[in-house]
Amino acid sequence: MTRMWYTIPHPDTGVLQRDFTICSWCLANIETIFTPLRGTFVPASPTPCPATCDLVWTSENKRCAAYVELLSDTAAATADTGLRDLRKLAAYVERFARIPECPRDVVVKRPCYTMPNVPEFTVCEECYGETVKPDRQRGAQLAAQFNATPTHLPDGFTCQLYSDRMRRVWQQAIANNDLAFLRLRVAERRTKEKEIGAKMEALRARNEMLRAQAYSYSQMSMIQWQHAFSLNCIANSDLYSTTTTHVSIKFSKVYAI
Amino acid sequence: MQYNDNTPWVPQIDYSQADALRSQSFQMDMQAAQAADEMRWLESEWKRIWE
Repeated sequence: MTRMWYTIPHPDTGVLQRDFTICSWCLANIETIFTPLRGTFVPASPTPCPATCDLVWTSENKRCAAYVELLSDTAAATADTGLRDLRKLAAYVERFARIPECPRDVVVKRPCYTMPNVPEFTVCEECYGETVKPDRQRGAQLAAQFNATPTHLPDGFTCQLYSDRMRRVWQQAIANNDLAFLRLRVAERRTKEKEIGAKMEALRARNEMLRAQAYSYSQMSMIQWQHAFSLNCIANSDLYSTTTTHVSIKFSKVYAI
Repeated sequence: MQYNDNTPWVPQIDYSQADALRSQSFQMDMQAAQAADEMRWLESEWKRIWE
């Protein structure tokens, strides 16, 4: 959306962090809630430019929660010390703002990191940066087996390293340098993922079909009801006949009942 | 409609077909809700065991 967006300047270089932008509404909220941060955000460009708000809150958007937490910590520290230190926030922005958020178990078509020895172990850029990259920098052999650059898989991928469970598996595999263990656990998860995915797809299709049928039956029921009602009206239409004899006879029958 | 003594004063309206269809619609709705429940259960099981 093209409008005015706001961002923070890097605390050391002063360069605007244009990968992290917020809208004026969020800016007003932040400046109201975290008063020590007033004046921190500046326009990302002098004229309106296309961008999105990084503080849009959704249940799955953990990055937004992280930004708010960092802003809160910075505001508290500023209130205590009188010095506004944005380095933690800037470091987080530098590290994550450029890369898309983890897709978790949703299939997406964008680059991911893969391991030639365990091709099913696909990892998104965010989880790679959080988990594998530090291990690689420490010199872990398993982490070094990942391709250095993300690749584009034709059928898309789901992230296999977002859950706490798989991160524990990864740490255990790293600690023991156990590729076989990692391969086994990844295969186990992928099998289950496919099984549950197929079941979910079948249930979703069944749900949609049943709902459509229920709607169609309800419409048919309505038509039947109207039909029966119309028949009744036709059957009684001579009640309003101009032939007074009929009317009088009918009314006499009514009174008799 | 020609009136005669055998003409029912209040003709019987046959709502049975309409009722049957409404009942079927209700049953379909219930089955759809059951499928949605199963989906939610599967999703929670996936999160509980595999996340």
